[in-house]
Amino acid sequence: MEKGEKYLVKVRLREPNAASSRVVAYEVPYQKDMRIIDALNWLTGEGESIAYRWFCSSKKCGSCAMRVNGVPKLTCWEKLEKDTLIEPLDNFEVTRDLVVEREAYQARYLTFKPYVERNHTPAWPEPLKHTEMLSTYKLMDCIECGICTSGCPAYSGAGGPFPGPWALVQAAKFANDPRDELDRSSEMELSGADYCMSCHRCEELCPMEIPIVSEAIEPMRALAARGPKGTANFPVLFADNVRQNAFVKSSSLFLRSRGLAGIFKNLGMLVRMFTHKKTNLSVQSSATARNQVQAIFSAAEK
Amino acid sequence: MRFAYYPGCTSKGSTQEVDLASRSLAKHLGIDLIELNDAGCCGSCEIKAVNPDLHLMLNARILSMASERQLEILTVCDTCQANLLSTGRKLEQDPVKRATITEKLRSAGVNYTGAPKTRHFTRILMEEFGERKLAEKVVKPLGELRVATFACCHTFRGDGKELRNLGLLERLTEVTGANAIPIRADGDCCGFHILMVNEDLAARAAGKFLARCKDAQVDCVVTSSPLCHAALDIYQKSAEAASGRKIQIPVLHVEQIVAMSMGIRPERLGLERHMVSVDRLIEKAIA
Repeated sequence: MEKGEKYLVKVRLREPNAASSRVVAYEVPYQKDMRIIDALNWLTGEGESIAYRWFCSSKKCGSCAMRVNGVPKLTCWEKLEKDTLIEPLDNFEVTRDLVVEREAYQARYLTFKPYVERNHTPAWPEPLKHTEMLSTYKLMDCIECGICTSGCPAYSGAGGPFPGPWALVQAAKFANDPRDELDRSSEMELSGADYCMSCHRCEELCPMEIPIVSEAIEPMRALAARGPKGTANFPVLFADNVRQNAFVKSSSLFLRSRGLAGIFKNLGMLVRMFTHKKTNLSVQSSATARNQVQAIFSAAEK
Repeated sequence: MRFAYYPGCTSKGSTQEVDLASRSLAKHLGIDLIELNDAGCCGSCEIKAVNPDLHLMLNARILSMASERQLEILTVCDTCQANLLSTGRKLEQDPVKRATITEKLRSAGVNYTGAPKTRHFTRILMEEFGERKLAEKVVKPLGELRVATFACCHTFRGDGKELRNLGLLERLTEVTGANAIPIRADGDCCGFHILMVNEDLAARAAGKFLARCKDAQVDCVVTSSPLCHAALDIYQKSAEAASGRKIQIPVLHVEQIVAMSMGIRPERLGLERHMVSVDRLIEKAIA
């Protein structure tokens, strides 16, 4: 693209506490290698009033995340396109223009005790293997930009039932650390970690390419499933069901996970499922299948 | 053309119509399906949270059952496909893990020698027949139908993603003569995997997508995943409650609309099993 060519940059602006927002279009003279943050900096340098966060400009501080043409991205790491719409991150309250409120979210994940807790004084020098730290290393790459949580379909705000991937990465960073001695199953059980929809959208969006589901969310779901109250033990019930039947017998899984109250609540739907032949109560696997699957469970648990 | 058929648990339980439709379609096209009757569950997204090795072993067992028969796997579930593919890839890429898993499997009487090719029915149709040949078999073009396609997230994200499947659902829908309307957004999810633990949250996610389908006045949703089907069809009333909208949009399996366009009678496709009635849709499609 030619130097100085006018690029259309549209920015969603919103005054503090305003009920609505407006999109303002600007023209920005293109410069070679121009990034989105450069366009915003150029506009404010010209005297435009646009509120946004940025600091390092090198994919490290995590403060410049915004929605770019509908997709949450780090604006310091994205090339400016000829027609670009810049909006604040979804799933967060807007403070002003492109600045979102992060404190309520951070307050929630602080309840996950994001630090290594030890019950004894370690030996010095402490023996620690790289292989033991691999999972934590990957999670330490998190720059807390909030992009994963912004794109998460299960997250519905800091007070919602699911804490969001960002918070679970922070929890897992310490829970997976071999030096940590805190039993985190009680707090994870109540954290809502088991409400992850397993869509992997967070991994797709993460600018640091962190394997969020396998290294953070699944281990935290496993911890939650071991919690003392048994309120987040669906994965265990699911596994028990497969151990018993070789396949998933959904009728018995529904009964065990939702209980009689769940059946009563969904009675209308369950009757309609029955009349629409959606419940296959007679289906049963062969003894061969059940024996082999049970043998696999036993071998895996050794 | 012969495949080891792995329908998955949901296709044998609450969405048996996809099993019926797939068998009817396969027979119509001369595809021989050898069902892996004793295969059991792939673990969905739950067992890997409990015990990742167990998850690999359950899937490696299914893969080995097809390998023993020297057959490729045909599946009708995006999540089953993802689990089988990710297991094959992990055991191929990590020799240490493969040795551990193979040894544990041997102690359970399973001989894992490697992963056979695993493809969803949609990809098999597009690769083995192709759009032109499939279009030639269409006798009842569904030209009046506006269809919102919904592929499962596991098709294009996660360790088991199969990016070669991207766009196949839309192209296959167009083969039937119907119009594929792009409504699914990147952040959409049907919410299936949390239906048992938080139905309200799942319904909110499904409701967002279905409400947009309503706004776009589509005739139906078509999916390649029986899990997405269950969330969008069986729980559609919950999605209506969550979105505050009356939706009533039929949800079909892709195998059903392909079969309908090829003249297979609706009675052989299990359409009466849908929770949201497809009667008006069939009238419109066949008219």
